[in-house]
Amino acid sequence: MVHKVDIFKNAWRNVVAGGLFAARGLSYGAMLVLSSTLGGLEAPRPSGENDGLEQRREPN
Amino acid sequence: MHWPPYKLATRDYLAQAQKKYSRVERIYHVGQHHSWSGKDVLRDLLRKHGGIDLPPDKRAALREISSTLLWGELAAWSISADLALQLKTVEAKMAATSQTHDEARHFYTLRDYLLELGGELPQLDGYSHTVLTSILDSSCLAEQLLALQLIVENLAVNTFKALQKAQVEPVLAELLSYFERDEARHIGLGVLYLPELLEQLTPLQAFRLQLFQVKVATLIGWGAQLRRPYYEALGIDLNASMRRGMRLHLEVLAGLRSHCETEPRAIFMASAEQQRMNDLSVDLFFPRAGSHQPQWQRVMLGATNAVAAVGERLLA
Repeated sequence: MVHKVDIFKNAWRNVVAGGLFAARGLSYGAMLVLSSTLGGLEAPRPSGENDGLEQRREPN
Repeated sequence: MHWPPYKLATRDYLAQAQKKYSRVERIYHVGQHHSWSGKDVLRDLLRKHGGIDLPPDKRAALREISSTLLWGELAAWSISADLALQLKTVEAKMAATSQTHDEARHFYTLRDYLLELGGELPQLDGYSHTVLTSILDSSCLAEQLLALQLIVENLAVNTFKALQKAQVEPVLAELLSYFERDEARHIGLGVLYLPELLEQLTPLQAFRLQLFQVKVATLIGWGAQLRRPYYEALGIDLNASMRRGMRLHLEVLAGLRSHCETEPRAIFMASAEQQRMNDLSVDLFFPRAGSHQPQWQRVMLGATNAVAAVGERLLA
């Protein structure tokens, strides 16, 4: 710990983070519904395609 | 407090510790062997490439992305020093001490690079600030190890890869390859030592750790959305970068799992179905660069971008 923890600020940030988590979940659900009813999404990219992990980091 | 802990120098204890923690101790020795001078490397790279050649708009975007990296290195420096102080096992202490040395070098080297880049360094956005101060303020070693070593270090490696892959700037690209080698060791400390801390958690502590993991992941996701224009300005495909980041994270979790006798508790390990959902969410919220988006997706992205901006103001 490098500075005094502000309990109220920390609690507020937890509340905001909780709200953002809920917003992400809701918008994800809404987008799933919209994509299944309205469509138009491009085909998903296969997982791992051209993501640079083929050049693995140097082992230590 | 009973000090000094005399058992640390007894043969029986040492034999047991070597058997159990030799790989953790190796992180320290490998770190010492691979140590490099940030001053020399940066000077040589600037000479090799004739300085930093980047148009003003890309410089501004690079400063935005690098600000998070720079203050992340400073936070990692403090947190690893905190870990070196608090971890009880000598071998883990050695690995954390080695990391502290690395993070100090990363901080001054990146700072010097950014001074060379010129312009004023922007302040941290609310999301990055909250993530880093949450880890700094945490009094739980497991929270610090999980969030710093397995999430933030991983995120840093992924950002380095994205900047290198997009060939944003040759001096930075070569410099980051030095950083990346060090970060791999830091992730190693988390993978090798976190299982032991997880076993010691009470159910309440385990629950709090899961909440902490969700909080950090949520804030990182929204932060990425907020910084999207800067990634685009640098020619980085955030869709590919997010997918690569998730794959890296899964590899790290798989490594963690391989060092646990039973399924690691207190950490969310995505199932195959959840991984598919994550991939889909990346496609929805971070569509591929240059891809066509239907009207409903553009509207939803506009709305979520607005939420990202509001969230940032609430956290700042």
